[in-house]
Amino acid sequence: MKSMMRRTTGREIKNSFGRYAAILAIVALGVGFFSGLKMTKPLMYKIVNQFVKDQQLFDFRLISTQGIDKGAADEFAGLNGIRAAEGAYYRDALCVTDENDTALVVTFRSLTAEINKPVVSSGRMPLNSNECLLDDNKFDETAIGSKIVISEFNDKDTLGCFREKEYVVTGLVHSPIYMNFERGSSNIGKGSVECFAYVTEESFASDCYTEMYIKMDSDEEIYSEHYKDEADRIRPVVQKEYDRLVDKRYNELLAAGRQAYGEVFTLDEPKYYVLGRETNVGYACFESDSDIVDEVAKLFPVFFFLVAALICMTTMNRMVEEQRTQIGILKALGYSNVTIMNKYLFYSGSAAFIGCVFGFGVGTYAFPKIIWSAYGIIYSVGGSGYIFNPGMLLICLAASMICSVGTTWMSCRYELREVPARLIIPKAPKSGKRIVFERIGFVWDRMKFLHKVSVRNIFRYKKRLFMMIIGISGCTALVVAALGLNDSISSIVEDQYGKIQVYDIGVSFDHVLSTSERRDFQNKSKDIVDSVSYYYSASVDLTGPKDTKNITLIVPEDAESCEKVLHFKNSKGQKIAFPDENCAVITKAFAQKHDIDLGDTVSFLDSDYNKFEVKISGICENYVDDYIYISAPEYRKQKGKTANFSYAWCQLGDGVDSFEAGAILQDYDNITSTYITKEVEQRIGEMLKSLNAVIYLVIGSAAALAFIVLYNLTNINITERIREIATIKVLGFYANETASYVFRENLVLSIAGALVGLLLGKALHGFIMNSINLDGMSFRNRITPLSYVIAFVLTIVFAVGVSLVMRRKLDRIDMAESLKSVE
Amino acid sequence: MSFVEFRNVQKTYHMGEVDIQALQNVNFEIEEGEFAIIVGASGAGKTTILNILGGMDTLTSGTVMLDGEEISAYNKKRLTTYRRFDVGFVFQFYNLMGNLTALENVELAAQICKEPMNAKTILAEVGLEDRMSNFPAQLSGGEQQRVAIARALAKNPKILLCDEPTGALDYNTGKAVLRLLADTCRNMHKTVIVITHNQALTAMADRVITVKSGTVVSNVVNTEPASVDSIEW
Repeated sequence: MKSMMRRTTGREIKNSFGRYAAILAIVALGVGFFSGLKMTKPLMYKIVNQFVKDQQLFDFRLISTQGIDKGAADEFAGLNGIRAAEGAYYRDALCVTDENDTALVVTFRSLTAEINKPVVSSGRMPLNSNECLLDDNKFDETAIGSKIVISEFNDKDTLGCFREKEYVVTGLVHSPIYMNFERGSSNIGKGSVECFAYVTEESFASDCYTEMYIKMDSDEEIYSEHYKDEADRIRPVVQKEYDRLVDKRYNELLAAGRQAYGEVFTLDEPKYYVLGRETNVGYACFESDSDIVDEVAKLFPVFFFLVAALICMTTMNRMVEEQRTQIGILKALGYSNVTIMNKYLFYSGSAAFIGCVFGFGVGTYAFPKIIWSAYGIIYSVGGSGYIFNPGMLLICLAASMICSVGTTWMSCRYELREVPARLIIPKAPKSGKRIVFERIGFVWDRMKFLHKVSVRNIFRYKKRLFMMIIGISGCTALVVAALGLNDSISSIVEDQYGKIQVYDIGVSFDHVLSTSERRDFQNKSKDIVDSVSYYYSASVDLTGPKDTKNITLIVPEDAESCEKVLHFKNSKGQKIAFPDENCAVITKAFAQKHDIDLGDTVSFLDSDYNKFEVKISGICENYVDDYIYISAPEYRKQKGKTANFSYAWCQLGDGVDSFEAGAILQDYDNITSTYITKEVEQRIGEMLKSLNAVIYLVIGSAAALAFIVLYNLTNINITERIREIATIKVLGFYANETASYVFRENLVLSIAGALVGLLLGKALHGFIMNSINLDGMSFRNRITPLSYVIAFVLTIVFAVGVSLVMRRKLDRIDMAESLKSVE
Repeated sequence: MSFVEFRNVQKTYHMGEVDIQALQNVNFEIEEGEFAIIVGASGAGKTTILNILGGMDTLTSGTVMLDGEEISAYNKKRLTTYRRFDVGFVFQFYNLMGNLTALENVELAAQICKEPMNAKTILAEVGLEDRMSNFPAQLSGGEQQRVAIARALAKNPKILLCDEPTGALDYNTGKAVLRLLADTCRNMHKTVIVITHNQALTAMADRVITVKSGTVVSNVVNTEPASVDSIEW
């Protein structure tokens, strides 16, 4: 480009810096938002993956009712494919700390060196058996130096486990086996563990390990197929060795017992398990928690980018039109089309390029960082990082260039096709016309003259009208959808556990209770449990019209008592009848995912390969996990025998604490496990807290976009009408009157755009909610009236704010200069 | 073979359902080095003739020759080259680039030419040596027009076309501009064609072409052109 052309291009940028900056900002926001959200899950994965690898999280955890021999570690370590094996102790105990008088349940664990290496975040490692490290998620540095005392109220067995009764806190720690905030439940105290503490092996007075950890040779990526394949390969090896060692120990113990007590001594067969990583709560939860971020953030950026792109296109289109005369002069002077076009291509291209690179850098750095630190509330993993994804940068650049350079090119081509003579003569202004509105006599006649002008202007310039409405409604829609996202997600706990699954505790018995056993149970628990409803549950493979997938079958023993704790409602809120003969009720998320409609016939296989066939008589609202419900008689008919009702839903009495009740019930001989609804509610609640960071980022970005778009459109409107505005200033309009002349139209269009945006937002929200595809969790489409109000008010506030900012620009319009140009 | 030749030129504008016959049967010629004035009432078709001659617009039928070349047969690309090297255009409303100074406006045109004149020199010759670093918004109408003329001259074109160059100027300034154009014609031996609706100016021209209702009604050679200063209007 010759120097003069370069100079005029440079000056153009300087003189219309508002427009240039707006394009830059819009592209930056669109790209930053898009790339930032997309890079969040990869970064979270990378950080956790590194943590898991650095701290050598176990691959297998071995537990046994008869304990594990100390020598077993060497046996396992010697196996092919195993890098290390380490034994450890753990025990829950009631403790008293310096700070509170009430006893807390603390899980004590022995320090391990090669596997599950804990990270000391402050203070130092314990050197003696009376020192300990405390959970850094639950305590801060003020705890260092304080004492933890094992309460005398612990039972004899527990007290006997520990060599020391008092421990001095020497530091704070986090551990790979406690990646998230959950500490587990216990059968002592209130039923839930408050925190964990690490002590040296010597602190435990046991001659055998309570658990053994195994680490494979390979460090495959977390949750990957490779990892699953490796684990599947090594597990049988471990299992076989474990079988052998358990047998050996059993025999040793039997022999020792016989020696001490004679031939009458008997020993129960031990129960022993090889548990994989997926049994670790923190590890398992992270996979689904990070999935949520990805799913929630999936569609938003695309729509965001669309709005940004649209505004860019409009801006450049209007700019080229505005510069018609200048283009004509350049053509008259003999500059080629290419040279002329380059001026505008450079203008938009440079703005978009800088915006893209800047937005990408800031977005991919800030978004993941902010979201990850919000997750820091639940996850004690720490760490930070940055992933540079060149592929994503290229995509963003390509999209930015197409929107800016591409549209400029198209607009220019259109103008440049004309002969210079036509370009130099400014476009004839659109002829005035009477608008339909004028026919409404009684309204029209009463309007002030200036208002009439505004109304005529609004309808006369259709292009401007549509651009304002589309641009503003797009932004309002984004804000509505973001707020609606928050409404839908945050209400899940209340929706599921307040309205659908209202039981307090789920209990599984070790066998089907007889009538007298049931009576005993009800008597024993009458202080805590108000009502019990028995049911059968099993995992089955369900085949629908589309495919086959796993689902949980529930067969309630008695429909009436079941309906007291499980509320079956359809999407309209109406009650669904309990499934009748040949029928089943299925949960909505599953039905939607697998194309199952009302009236469809589906079949499922249980673990005995018994095939059931039922017709879907109801699709019920449900947001956590997937279920299919059939009646007890139906089950008996299709299976050939009565179901084993070894599960029960319990409603607790008023004021009974769920965790305490859970601990009490867990202690009953015939109860194998308890499921405390409150615990799940808490887990979900915590997960939602960190999701808030994502939501607020989305809302914030949508609001920022709305402001910039409004600013840009207003700016364009003003620069297009400079002569008109200068003329009314010449005619003697005061500054206020000039401002209202211009901004009245803007405000009306903003209100119209905002209203359209509310409707669009509802549709967008529905679309986004439908796209969220999580395992075991779904959300109710819900936008509160408050959200609509906020989105609307926000748009109007921005419109007013922009008007105030632009007011200065209006006041600065030089009448003389603006009227000098040709027209 | 005249320097400029219009043969049976016709120009029709199609604006939606309406067809506007701007020029019909236009025939005239102009010799090299002449100061020619095309005169006629507003809307007669003068600007259209100039636009076609300047490569700014196309004709519907007929031929236009300049210096032996058939301008009317040029395609768009060739027309751009034509405007670049062979034509200097002066508009009624100056049409300068608002964000370039006077000097830069002239350089804008000079940079793309084969043998341009020095921008500073030309500006000095039109009497603007003190105003070179001013922007158009800081110049009066007459000064702006002089910049426009300097711009056109800097290109060293074959012909200089001026569309109502004094239309927006007062009597004295207008005279000064015309004097400048006449001098350029004589001293630099350039063919200058001026469009005006002002009958009085025709006295200063070597040739007067009268246009009425889209066609040429007379083409008169003036053997004794008067100097600008002696004309009153």
